Amino acid sequence: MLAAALFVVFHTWAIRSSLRWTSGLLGFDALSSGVLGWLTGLGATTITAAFRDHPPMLVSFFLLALVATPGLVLLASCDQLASEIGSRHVRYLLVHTARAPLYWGKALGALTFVSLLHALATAVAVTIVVLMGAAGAADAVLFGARILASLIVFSMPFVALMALAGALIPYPALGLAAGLGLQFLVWAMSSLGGLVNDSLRHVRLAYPTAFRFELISDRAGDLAFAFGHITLLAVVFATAGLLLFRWRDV
Amino acid sequence: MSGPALEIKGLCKSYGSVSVLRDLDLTISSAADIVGLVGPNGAGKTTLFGLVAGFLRPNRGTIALHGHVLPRTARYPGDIAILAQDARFPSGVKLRVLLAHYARLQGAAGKAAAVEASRVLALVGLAGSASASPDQLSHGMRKRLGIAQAFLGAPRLVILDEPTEGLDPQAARDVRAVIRDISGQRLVLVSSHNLLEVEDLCREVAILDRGRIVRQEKVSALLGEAEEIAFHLPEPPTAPALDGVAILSFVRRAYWDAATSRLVALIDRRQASIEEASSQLLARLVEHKVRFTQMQVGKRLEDRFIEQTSGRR
Repeated sequence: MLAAALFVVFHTWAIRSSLRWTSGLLGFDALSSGVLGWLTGLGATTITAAFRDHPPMLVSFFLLALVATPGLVLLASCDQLASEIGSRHVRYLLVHTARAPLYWGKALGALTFVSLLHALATAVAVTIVVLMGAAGAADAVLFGARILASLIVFSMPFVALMALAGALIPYPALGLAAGLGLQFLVWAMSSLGGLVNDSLRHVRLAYPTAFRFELISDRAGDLAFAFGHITLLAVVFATAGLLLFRWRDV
Repeated sequence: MSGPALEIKGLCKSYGSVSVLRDLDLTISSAADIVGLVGPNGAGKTTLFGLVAGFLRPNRGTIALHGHVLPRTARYPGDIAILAQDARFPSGVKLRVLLAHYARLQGAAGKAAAVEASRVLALVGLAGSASASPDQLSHGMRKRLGIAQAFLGAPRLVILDEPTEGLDPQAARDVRAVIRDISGQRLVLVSSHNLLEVEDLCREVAILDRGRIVRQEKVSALLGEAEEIAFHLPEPPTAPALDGVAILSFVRRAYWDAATSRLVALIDRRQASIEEASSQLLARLVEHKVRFTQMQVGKRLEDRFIEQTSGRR
């Protein structure tokens, strides 16, 4: 519940921030697009096109949501099997069901919970945009649906990562720390390490955030690449977690 | 169904460098019986149960149920039920909701799951606490809840690890009655440190020591084969009385065991049957005006246990 509250609070803050930001930058000048293009790795052209072709407030909400999603999803989904294994309640579950359905059930439950939070936050953002007259209802709803679908897909590898952590570490907080630690490690190795050795930049491919901002792009190639990378990591994390859970003593 | 109800071959389990089970073999033929598993602390009883239930992964060996070798950790849901000694229930969930959830997990539909939950709650005497949550229950009631979840559906093997541990005598008796009630329908494997309980409850017993089954017998055979008849006396027998017993032709040796207040006679069964020996011993004690409170034919399970496990508990 704490995770849910934090999630909603953050999204509300994101919506309010995006409102202030976009109302002050209606022109969305070259400097802003350049900075954002550099920060996201998309380039000024793609960013400018996004703000031009879609409701700007929703684009900025989308950007902030993509930044916030990893940490918040890790937090919201960190307790799938961890406390069940830690308390050994899992033993009572495993005499009534098999390991694979239990594993997938917990992961899908976490993904559903996170998806509902995304849906709630996105619905609030779309409603505000429509009520303020910042975009047409049809455009806002359509783009809101795309944001929601993207956020749900983007959440999958993080839910899967926490499923893997839960199968490995019987303490939710430690699993969360491991997920955040991996994110920091990947960032440090690819960013700081990349300054020393260029090949270390590829380490970022091991974490689902590598191509998250491509989800904003309208280019089919960018989207396919981003979804492909995200889905691949979701499958890898989830499969590794399942194999570990089926193999381990509980 | 083919093959023994439970057949374990060459089972090994280690935790790091500590070997808990070593080439353990155990075969239980009867599909509807109560079998006791006894052994000293650390003998490997809970580990064995964990392996049979699929919680633990064996290093080596096979476990077969009715002739079908089970995968290392996967089990068919509802086939094996267990009262696990160290598992906990979640707090804040009503018992009937929790048990209905377990029933649904093993395939019961919504209403059938609720009915099944009510049935097992009534079976263990917790129907009145159906709206309580596990954290509101006493130790004994939680134990009953554990037994209730083990009786959901129709498992072919029910494993009860220390089912009466920590229960008051009345609750323990109730639990034993429940176990007896279901024993005609399925194989029940019970472990207990209370050997009198095992003796009373089980038809067959296996003694586990240092990771191996060192003896497996019908309880009647285990106790009845003993060439021993003992009398509990309120005071030590007189020397003539003891001599009077010792000179009987079928008595190999007679002695006073002060620790247990028993006059023990070891019988040569080639000379006399247990019945003949019992009646002649009784006559001899009456003749010497020796008062006794109880006669015990054969050894108790506890004696056998101590013999087999070198006295370790």
